[in-house]
Amino acid sequence: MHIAILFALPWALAGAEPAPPPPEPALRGLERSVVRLTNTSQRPDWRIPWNPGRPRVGQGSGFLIEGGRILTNAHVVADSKDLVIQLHDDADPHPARIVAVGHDCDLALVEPVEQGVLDGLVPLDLGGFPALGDEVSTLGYPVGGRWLSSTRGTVSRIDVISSVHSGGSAHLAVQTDAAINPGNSGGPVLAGRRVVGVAFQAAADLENTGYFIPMPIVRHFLEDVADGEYGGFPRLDVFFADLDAPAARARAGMEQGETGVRVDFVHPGSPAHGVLRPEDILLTLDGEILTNDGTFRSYDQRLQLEAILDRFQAGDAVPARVLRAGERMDLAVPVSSSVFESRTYETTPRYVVYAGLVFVPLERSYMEVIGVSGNRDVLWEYAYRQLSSPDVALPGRVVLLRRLDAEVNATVGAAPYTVLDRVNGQPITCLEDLVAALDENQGRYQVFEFAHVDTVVVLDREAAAAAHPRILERYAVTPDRRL
Amino acid sequence: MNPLLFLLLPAALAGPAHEDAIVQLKVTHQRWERSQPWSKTNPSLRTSQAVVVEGLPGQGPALLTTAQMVDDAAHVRVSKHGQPEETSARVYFADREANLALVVVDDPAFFADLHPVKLAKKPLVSGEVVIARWRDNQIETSVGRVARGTTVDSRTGVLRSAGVRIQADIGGGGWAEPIFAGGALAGLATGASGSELAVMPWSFFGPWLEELRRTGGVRPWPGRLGIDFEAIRDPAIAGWLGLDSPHGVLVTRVAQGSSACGVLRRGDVLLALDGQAVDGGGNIRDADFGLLEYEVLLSRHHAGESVPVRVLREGTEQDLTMPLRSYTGASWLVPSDRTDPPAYLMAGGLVFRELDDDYGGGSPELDIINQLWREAQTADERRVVVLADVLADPYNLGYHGLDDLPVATVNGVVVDRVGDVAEALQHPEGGFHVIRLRPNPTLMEIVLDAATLDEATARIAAAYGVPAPYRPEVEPPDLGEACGE
Repeated sequence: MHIAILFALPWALAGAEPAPPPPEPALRGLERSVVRLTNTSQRPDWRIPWNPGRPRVGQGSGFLIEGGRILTNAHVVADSKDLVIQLHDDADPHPARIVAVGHDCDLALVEPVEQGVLDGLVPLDLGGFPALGDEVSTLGYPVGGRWLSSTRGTVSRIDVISSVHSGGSAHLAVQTDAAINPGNSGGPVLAGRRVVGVAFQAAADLENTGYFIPMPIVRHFLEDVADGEYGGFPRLDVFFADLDAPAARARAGMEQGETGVRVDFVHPGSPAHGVLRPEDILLTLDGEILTNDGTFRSYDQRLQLEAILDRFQAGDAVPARVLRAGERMDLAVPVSSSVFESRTYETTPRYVVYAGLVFVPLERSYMEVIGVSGNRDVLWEYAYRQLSSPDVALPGRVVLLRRLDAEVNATVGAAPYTVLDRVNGQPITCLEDLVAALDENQGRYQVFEFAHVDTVVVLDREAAAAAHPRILERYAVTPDRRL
Repeated sequence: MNPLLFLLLPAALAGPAHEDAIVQLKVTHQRWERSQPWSKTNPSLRTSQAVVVEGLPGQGPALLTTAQMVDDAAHVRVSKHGQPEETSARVYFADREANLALVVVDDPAFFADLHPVKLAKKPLVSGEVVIARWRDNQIETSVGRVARGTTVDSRTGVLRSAGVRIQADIGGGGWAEPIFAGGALAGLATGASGSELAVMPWSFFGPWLEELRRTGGVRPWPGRLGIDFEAIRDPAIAGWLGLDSPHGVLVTRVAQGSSACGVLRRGDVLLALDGQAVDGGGNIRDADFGLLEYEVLLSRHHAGESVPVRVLREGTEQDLTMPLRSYTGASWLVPSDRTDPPAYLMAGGLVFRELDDDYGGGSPELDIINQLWREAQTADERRVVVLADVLADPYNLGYHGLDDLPVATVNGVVVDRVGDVAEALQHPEGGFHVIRLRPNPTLMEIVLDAATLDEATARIAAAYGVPAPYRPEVEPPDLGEACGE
């Protein structure tokens, strides 16, 4: 509240005498430490996986922290081809480079390429965790003008929120009614003169709903990258079931007043597989008592148990107490970054084109292109097949993305978004399998069998080989594969 | 017919006036509620046409219409001559596979001033037709033209038959309007799209009516052949299969319980069915109706008859005999055609029912089953049980809001049908009922207290107005032996 008063004072007291020296505005001197970032990014289009994609220019904010680096959001610098920093009162752009990026928590560190650009700038102090209702202000370069902007508001909520950039990874976040608009991303959120978070996203369909990344997540990221490598936030990759049902608790052998959640599924690719088991009741995690809805007490309120994992780094073991077959036992559950794929950045799509048939691995980025509504076999393969075989990590799948129509393939029954099962009798689990099955075949025909729909596609091998280069040229496909 | 002769015919021989041969049919119909299957939906009214035909021997005239017009009927009534009086009627026989129904009126006086239509004698394959129907208490006639032959979908069943599309400038058609050619009844409209009517021709319903009159019923239909196939349009796949040119279809799956089961095998090329060559797209060329799906050949037979099939198997052509079985939508894992009230069980507020076409999808889990495995019934898996709803009560706390989740086991027993759930709930595990759901990311297991289940069921049934907690299912059709190989 006092921030508002301080801003108002010089005008309110104009003409009064004797005029006391005007108090310093709360943020004075911090402006220069907040920079504007201009990123030229190029993101491939997974529908046309050989195309490098259209370059786009985006703007965001960042701020100097101890150590001479600029902290910003990962999404501000993602898929970067060129990055430029501009200071508050300096008209010259300065080339910059990325030091570290954490796409799961949407944080990144950048620095100017030239020495001395940031000389004379004061690193911002990192503060603590704000309380519900606390006043906060933002600094940054949102749309609506060229120069620095400041907005104010209060802390409206503390919760575990999925990040848009990662495509699902959920972390502790703080909601504020201080305006957070495009361009604010990566800018500091301050309580007084100390940073309490990094602005990162807003709810598009709600009013006055911006979010910032609080200091526990920022500090986790900075510790993680201290060794020069980013390991990512650990996750359990476990499905938990709430235990609000008294009968479910009683059957598990829980005592009166005992609370926890049931393990329903442990991904076989997770290091927790075999340590935690289906039907285990997770009672505590890192000493925190879990309630029947999978929350624990933190910051004078309840938070989802994922926030406990934010305390650990990948490779750590998290102390846990479970109830298993009537017995209470203490376990150390190893954690690593999630095996459920997040959206990937700075990557190029993998694919194989053969005589106009475009095959791709069944991966997250392709699922976003394929969608899930009309393609239930692909959805089942992607999201449900593993659930049906909980004991072993299943091999991957290859999908026919599309057909580039040509004489050699126009009359074959190849439907887009179908799951490839076998080629020339060989089971196909990855693009390498596909290439090997096609290359090794000396017979007259290449035979593709698809799962679920039971489609069979047959190509004459020599005709396909002859048509292949023509199709690549006609559709401007280079190269014909990226494994 | 000789046009000169036609001109000389007395009017009576050209058939009765439309007013005397067509009646308006009003059907109050109702479906079962999806998630409260003990209740029915708000009744609504369907108005359509029926034509007067000779009824069963000794029973006077009756009314012919399509089965889809009397679907889910709660009450049927008819009116004639555009008059306001309505007379109650009843469905004597509805054949959902054929999409035909015979409606009777118990009051013989109703027919006193009506006359049976004259049935056409030659197939409806070309030329001008007249579409007649009651509109605003007047007979409305429109002229149409046969555009082309087509494969007609039975709509209420899975049978496909040869029909025609008629170009006609009438709005809101497809409600069983009679189609006349040369004054005789030549077809019934079963659907409309744009200015085209899909029409079931006399050549299909004529013999049906005759059999119904003669025997009081109609023999069961074969439904569908029961294969999935890959088209052979491309020279490469033809060559790989050992064919010199693209024709026939590659059998990729054979459904248990179907006519194809035990006769056709995965890997066969179906070359001919019932003496007709099958082309690379799965079509046959009919002398009257042109290019049609091979499935229409089954509509010319009844279950119990046999048809010849020619296949290419392991490089040699073989002629086989295929006995036709009744393989309808009722046989499927997700039945497409159920006329019995949906089976359900409400236990402790959890509403279980069987997945069927009426229930449809709504969750990824259900959509996957509907799309991938709807026809894939086997002896081990006859139906899919779904947790359709949870009627919230302190007894089922923790499970409120769950719906559309397929069930795998109850108390360790695989449940295939609602009756299996009822049976499994008789055998709790250590004082609890344990319901395992099919793998999904939401919830895998539901645990209920066994001792208080019955009491909770009774309380919840009373609170939510559930008249009976259990309606057992009708036994699914016999599937016979597994197809083998």
